[in-house]
Amino acid sequence: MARVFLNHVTKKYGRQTAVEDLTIEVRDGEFVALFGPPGAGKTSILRMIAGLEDVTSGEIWIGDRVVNNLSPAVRDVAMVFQSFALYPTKTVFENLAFPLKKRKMPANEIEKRVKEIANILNISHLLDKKPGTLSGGERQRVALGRAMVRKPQLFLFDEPLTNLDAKLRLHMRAELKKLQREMGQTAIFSTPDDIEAISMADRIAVLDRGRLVQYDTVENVYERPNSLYVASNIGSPKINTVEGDLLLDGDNRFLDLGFTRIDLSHFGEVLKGFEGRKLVLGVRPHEIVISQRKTSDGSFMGRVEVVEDTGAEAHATVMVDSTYLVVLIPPGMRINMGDEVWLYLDPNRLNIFDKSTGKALI
Amino acid sequence: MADVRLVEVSKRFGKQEAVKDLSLEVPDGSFVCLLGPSGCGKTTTLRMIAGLEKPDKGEIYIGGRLVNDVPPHERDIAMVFQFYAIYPGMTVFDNLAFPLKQRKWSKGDIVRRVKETAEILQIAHLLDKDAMSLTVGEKQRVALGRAMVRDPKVFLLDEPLTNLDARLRAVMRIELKKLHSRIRTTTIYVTHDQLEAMTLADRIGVMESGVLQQYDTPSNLYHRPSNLFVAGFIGSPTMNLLECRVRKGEKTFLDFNGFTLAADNFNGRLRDAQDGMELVLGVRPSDIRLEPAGGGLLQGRVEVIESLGDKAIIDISIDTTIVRVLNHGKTEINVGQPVALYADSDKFHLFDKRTGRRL
Repeated sequence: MARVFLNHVTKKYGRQTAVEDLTIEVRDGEFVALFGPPGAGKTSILRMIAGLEDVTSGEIWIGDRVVNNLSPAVRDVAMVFQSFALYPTKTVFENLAFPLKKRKMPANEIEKRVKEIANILNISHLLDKKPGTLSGGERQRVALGRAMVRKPQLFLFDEPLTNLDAKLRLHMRAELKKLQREMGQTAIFSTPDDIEAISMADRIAVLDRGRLVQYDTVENVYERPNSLYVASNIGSPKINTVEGDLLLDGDNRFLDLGFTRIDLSHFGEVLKGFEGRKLVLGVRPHEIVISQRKTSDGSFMGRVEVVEDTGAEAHATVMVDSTYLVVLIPPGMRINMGDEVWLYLDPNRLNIFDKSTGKALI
Repeated sequence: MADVRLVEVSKRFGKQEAVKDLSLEVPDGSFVCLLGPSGCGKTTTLRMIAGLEKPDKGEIYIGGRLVNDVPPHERDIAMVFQFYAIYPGMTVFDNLAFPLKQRKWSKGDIVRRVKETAEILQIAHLLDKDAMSLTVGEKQRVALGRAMVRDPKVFLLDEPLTNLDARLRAVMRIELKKLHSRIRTTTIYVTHDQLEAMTLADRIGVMESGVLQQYDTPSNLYHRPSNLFVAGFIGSPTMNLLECRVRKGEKTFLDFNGFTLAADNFNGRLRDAQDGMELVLGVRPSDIRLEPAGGGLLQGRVEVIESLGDKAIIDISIDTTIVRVLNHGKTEINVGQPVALYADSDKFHLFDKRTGRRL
């Protein structure tokens, strides 16, 4: 068990900065996601924590010590890689026992520990099998088991679900989350998939080209993104973004989107000074109210271009002027391609960003 | 434009039966998906329609004409493998004109046809641009345009979106759907992704081990899967499939591993079921409602909560069974908490465990 603290950590490869001045704390027992597209610096961060890369500057703390100068072996960290390598000629038992044998643990203790881990991972019935005969999910669990068996104080997972097929990924997501909680160990994983990040993690570090953009709880990253970058990279279907101008009308401020004006007076002084600037409105598909008739003064009309119904839920892509808005269709409402519909944006459920800086204003 | 009809088509590769006795009607102008896991026979079926494989048995008709012995280039179909298959270093115009030049069309005809196609695809303003400089969505339209210029009767698409990332796939799906609603060319689309099939197709043929399991509208596949395979394959998160045994007496019960459900109100669906018969009860995660403990059909305990932003997948343990629930809106439930599960028995799917068939 351990707290992890990265204090102003920078990593450069030649002239290229992979990680820039990163400060982040992972609490003891916490499950944290490093999220970002390829090149965001996720893997470099994990490798520095594991001791597989040196830091260019800054400190890495694991527990109550700085580990910058400690070799990977003594950091007490287990890293599970994307392409988990199991020994093909060894049985599952031998694969799990290997890290303990290397540490010269007595045979009876090894057996006890392996059985205990196999039990937690639900692979006790597979101990005599060779990896080649297992399914993808079973192999993944064996790889996890091999990392777990020596009870490290910290787990690092590098894109743990990336190589699995869609169904298995969904299954392993829940399993990994449950496992982390039951073991209670601090764990950090990297992922390029926003749904993986929000479904598994307690907190998410959103990264963009080596820089930390937002580090917050799942709920805050989703509902109160601090930037357009976070808003548009977290959540599926993607948040709708529409550019508009902030207008001052008497004492009231309006966001003019062309096809509608949204009264933002209730935000008061927050928007002061932004008059005449380009702003970007962000609104999630389930936050737009759709109806077949005009329901309020603020609603505006659009035409349904596409309906996507997955069975569990349906979304409409609605064209308003030349803007497309994706809208969640409430259960029971029948909407077809080509229909004219009315949309309404609740002024209390909007995210507003400054276009030039990308920063959230509301 | 043309319909496509397969009558009892079979194909084997050596000892392996890739497609078994497949009959399928694809109406003129419709969008049909062939869906299934790898090895189910969907690509072989597409290749037989294209004429790239010859069926061992059965008949294939395109526009009413038997094409078993017609070579691919005379079948009047266009097969699109991937939307990136455009020629770099050529303009959009040249990309679109290429298939027509190969067919030795006159210059005037080519210009007319390319412009017409570009209009439909809304890429007329891009004709002079280098195809590689376009956005991915524009490139996709160019690739489709190249398939469209010669006005084929049928489009055959083999996993065209597979190599794209999730976000782009979502955009492309909508593009494709809009395009099809505009041009209405009969389209057969192969995919292993049930979400793609559900959102694109008018009808879906679900295949497994070379056998067509169900051929139906997305809505029917979702709400009335005809067997266990379809029930488990369609829908995400997957349907809960719980094994149970019928107990008949004065009243009817279903005995599960660790709990029992009264089954008198199953609308007569268990009328013919024998006492002791083994069933699988299916219920979709979105058809279960959770309330704080007390009341409900069953009592359980929250094991895992996976937030998806606007909804959450919640794993509930009932004794040793795990049931998944999809909860819309904010989740005011915590891990470890006891909860009550509610579900409408109309939403239960019942299958014979032995045959896999829906009751």
